[in-house]
Amino acid sequence: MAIAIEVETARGAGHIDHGGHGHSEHPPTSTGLDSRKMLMWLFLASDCMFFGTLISTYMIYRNRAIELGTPPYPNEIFDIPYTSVSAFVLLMSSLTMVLALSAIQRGDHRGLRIWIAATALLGAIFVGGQFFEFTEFTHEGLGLSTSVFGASFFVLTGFHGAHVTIGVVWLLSILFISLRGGMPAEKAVDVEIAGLYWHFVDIVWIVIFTLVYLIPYADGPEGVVEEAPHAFLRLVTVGERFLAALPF
Amino acid sequence: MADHGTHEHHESAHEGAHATNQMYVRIAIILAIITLVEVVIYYIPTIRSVLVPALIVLSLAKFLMVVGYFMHLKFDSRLYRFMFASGLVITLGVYLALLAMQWTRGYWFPLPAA
Amino acid sequence: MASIAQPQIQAPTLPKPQAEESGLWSWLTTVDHKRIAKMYGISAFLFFLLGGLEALLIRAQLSRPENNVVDAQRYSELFTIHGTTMIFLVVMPLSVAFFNLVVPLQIGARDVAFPRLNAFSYWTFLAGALILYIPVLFSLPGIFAHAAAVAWSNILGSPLLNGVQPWFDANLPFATVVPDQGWYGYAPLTESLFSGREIDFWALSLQVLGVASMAGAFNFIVTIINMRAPGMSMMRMPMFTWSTLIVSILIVLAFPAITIALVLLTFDRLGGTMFYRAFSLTDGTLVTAGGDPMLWQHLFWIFGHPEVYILILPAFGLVNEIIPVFSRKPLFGYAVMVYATAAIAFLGFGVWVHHMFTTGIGPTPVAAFSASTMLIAIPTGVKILNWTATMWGGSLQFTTAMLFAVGLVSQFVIGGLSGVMHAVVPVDTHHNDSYFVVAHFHYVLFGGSIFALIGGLFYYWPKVFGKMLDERLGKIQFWLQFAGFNLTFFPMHFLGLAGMPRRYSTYSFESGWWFWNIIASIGALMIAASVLIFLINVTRTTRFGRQAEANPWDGSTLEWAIPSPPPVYNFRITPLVTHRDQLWHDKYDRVQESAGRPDQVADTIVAIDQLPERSPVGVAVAEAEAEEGHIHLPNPSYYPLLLSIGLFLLAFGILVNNPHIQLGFFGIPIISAFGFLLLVTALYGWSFEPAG
Repeated sequence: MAIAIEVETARGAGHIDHGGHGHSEHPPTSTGLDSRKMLMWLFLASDCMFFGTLISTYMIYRNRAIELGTPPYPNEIFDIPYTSVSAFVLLMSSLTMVLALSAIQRGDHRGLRIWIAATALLGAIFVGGQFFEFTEFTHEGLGLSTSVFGASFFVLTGFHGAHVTIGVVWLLSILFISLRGGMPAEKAVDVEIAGLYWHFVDIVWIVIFTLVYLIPYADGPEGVVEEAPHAFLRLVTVGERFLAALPF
Repeated sequence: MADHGTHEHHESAHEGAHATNQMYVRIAIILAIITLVEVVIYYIPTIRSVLVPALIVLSLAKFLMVVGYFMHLKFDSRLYRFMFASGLVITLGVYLALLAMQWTRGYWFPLPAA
Repeated sequence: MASIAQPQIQAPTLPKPQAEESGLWSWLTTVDHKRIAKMYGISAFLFFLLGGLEALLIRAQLSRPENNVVDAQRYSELFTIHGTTMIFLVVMPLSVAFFNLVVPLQIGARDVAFPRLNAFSYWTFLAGALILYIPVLFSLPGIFAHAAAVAWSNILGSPLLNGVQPWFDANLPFATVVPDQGWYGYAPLTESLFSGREIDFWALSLQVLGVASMAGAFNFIVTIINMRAPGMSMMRMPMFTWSTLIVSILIVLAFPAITIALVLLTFDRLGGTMFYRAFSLTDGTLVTAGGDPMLWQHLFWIFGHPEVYILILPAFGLVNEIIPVFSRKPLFGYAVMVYATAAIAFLGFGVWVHHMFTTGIGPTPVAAFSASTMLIAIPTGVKILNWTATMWGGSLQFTTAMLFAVGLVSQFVIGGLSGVMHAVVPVDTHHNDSYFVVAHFHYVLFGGSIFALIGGLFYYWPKVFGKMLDERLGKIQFWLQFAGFNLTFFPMHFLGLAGMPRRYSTYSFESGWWFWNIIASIGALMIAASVLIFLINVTRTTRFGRQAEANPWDGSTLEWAIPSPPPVYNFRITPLVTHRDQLWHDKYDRVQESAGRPDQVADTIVAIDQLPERSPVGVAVAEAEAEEGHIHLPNPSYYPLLLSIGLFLLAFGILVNNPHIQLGFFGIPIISAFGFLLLVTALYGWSFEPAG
């Protein structure tokens, strides 16, 4: 039922909305830009404020556990190599995401499905890794109510984890639609919008990884808090436990 | 379904023409290397004094590369760039001011004696 | 005037509207921006009446020293609900009603960019309002009955009541969960140590309202950028559309701060965290918890100050429409007005600490934010100058709408000046938490926002309902409201300087505050009478009102080019925009080539269906539609409503969390779980539903 008319005009803004919305997947607009993609960019601008608020809260409270002498301290429990692997996984999921988009723009449906599935898998690994990290921290005595450091850490990374989870569900929906044959090359912008969201989640993690994990923590009232011992060794242990936890 | 992709009709610069898969892979390798550098310098005690600025510069580089290339902002409409930048600028301005105030204020509640 | 060759096309076959014209279902599933505007407007006006009732109760209590109309607890609830209602349930949604009504018409579009998101925005607003008001509606009748009884005994001298026991039934459901902490909910008052479930109702209500506001704001930004008629460049956009764009950007960037602040608060209350808690009570002793109540103040005002501009800029936008039309002159300094609005929005993010000058935040922040606060007065002053200069030398027509617009200019100057006074820190320290502050923000919010919004109602009533509101009643209303408003709030300046603190439920006779308080209460009654006159006016107009023409005020923007009320498709043929005040150009400049004052050629009449010019693209679309036999409009959808109901149940389930109706194993409240399922289902249904 949908028809679309595109008429170039000789003047003014050039590209015209012809009023009614939804005549086609891409109704011509005043700017020539896709409305939904613009919506996503605006959402991301707003999401900067969301994460900005959470990250600032964390930055205010990041040393508070050490200052008040309420363990566990961040330096003790953060496992930098483990988190580095997580960060690497998420970074690579950005690559697979952009390859998925590139595939569908060329009309390569098989490529789209492979790369979307890979992105979703990498995202799921990241969320799983975060879940495992949270469990580890809980075992070591860090809870929501242990200290404001713990609270702001869990709320910040949990909020990010929720973003990743939503992204994974979104990607799996795209995969499902594509498998049903509902994702022609003309709808590449659907993949592009999901991709923008996905990359944003990735860049937030780039910031979190630096500000939460890598930037050193203060010396506490009890002197310098020791680094997590044998970090590389711990990675092996953590990896083994992770593999053991898998159901297969 | 009508097939009027905006990128087919309009001059607004768009993906495809400017970025290739090869380039994406190259970017990803650079990102991975930067991440590796970040983690390595974290473990070198002699450069602790410049660690924080170095980490900030490195993560900023990663941030810009993902936004510019993977999100196509480098090639996409200036309007998108303006939108995202305004969110980022307001966020940075507001929260850097907040952090400056909070970090210099000191605590008004008693801390345990060191 | 470069005349574009217009293809003469026959009026196409009559459109078959896809949506049902009437019936409850058609309203529940509507995505038509005009219907959504009506729903927003009516809801907001009902809340305006409720918020006004709360204000009257407050004024009744304060009308005499040591009064007993309400007790201290009910008084706290009243001012909290009054503030929250007027800000989130009246001024914001009433502004959004105008956005919805005016913006698509002004830019020559058939609807907003995302019609279903627009419907979702309204239903979610209603959900958030209900969460706040379910407790209030249970407790308000009792409070009101008690107040009436007290008034009865005061007037007749026969004691209907024994003592001051209020007629308040705490056994009513939800009656004890009316928020009582003030509209900015300072920590640690909102922490579980000092409060009950009422804070959860308040926090979740604000959370849901935030979702609604943000959904609407995203929609309007995209609409304004992407749905403009051919030829309407940004600098040809009407000023109200500019205001909407800038307010929407403010909403999108300011609401995340309050959302996260409320998330942290909810974690503090339900999750055992200590974000805003400096101390916690363990075994009867205070221990350092590490949190910081100042964080709440910061996050709240990082949202709260832009919010002030979210409340006033739509009103400025309406005044920008009204004053030029009734001065018969184009707006003076259009471009400067645009830049001033943008500057206010940008600077609005850099002044929040002036709400916190008395917290001991330190000399550097105080100095910096004092300076930025003074700075923001400049673009605001530019606006006042532009309005004055627009009226200067114009043929002024003092219709009711114009009276209200000029009312805003005069009253906002008073409120603005007392605002700049607070940039001076010693003055602010003296005024802080006194009635002077109450006077200040009522001058900007009532004398500013509400005046302009009521003026906007008079201005746009003919466009929405096709009937002219009675001008004589309107003028009576204006003068009564103007006098009542000043009588109520000007004395509060004196009260504040005399030391009367805000939020105290009563005062002693010896304080000497009783004189100005009784004056203020009389003024409040006058405002109530003026609102009553408005209701009479609306009733009369609906019954006997004069039919409105398409352009009763001789306005210059596109919405006046189409019939009143507008047809469901707005513009049969998308217009072509060549000038800023398009209709004035078409009507007058074509006849008289001088781009001068339209009143000199006011007799020239051009048939309305020739206005404005048709755009080639619009003609092509119309021709295709005529061939096809129907006009393309977005389909109605019930998914927005379903999604909002899901959101409501999700939030409400957390609030009425009953241990007996939980899914035993996971401990999940069953109502919330159901709401979440509904939400996900609706989201998927929405995504797969064809939009048009």
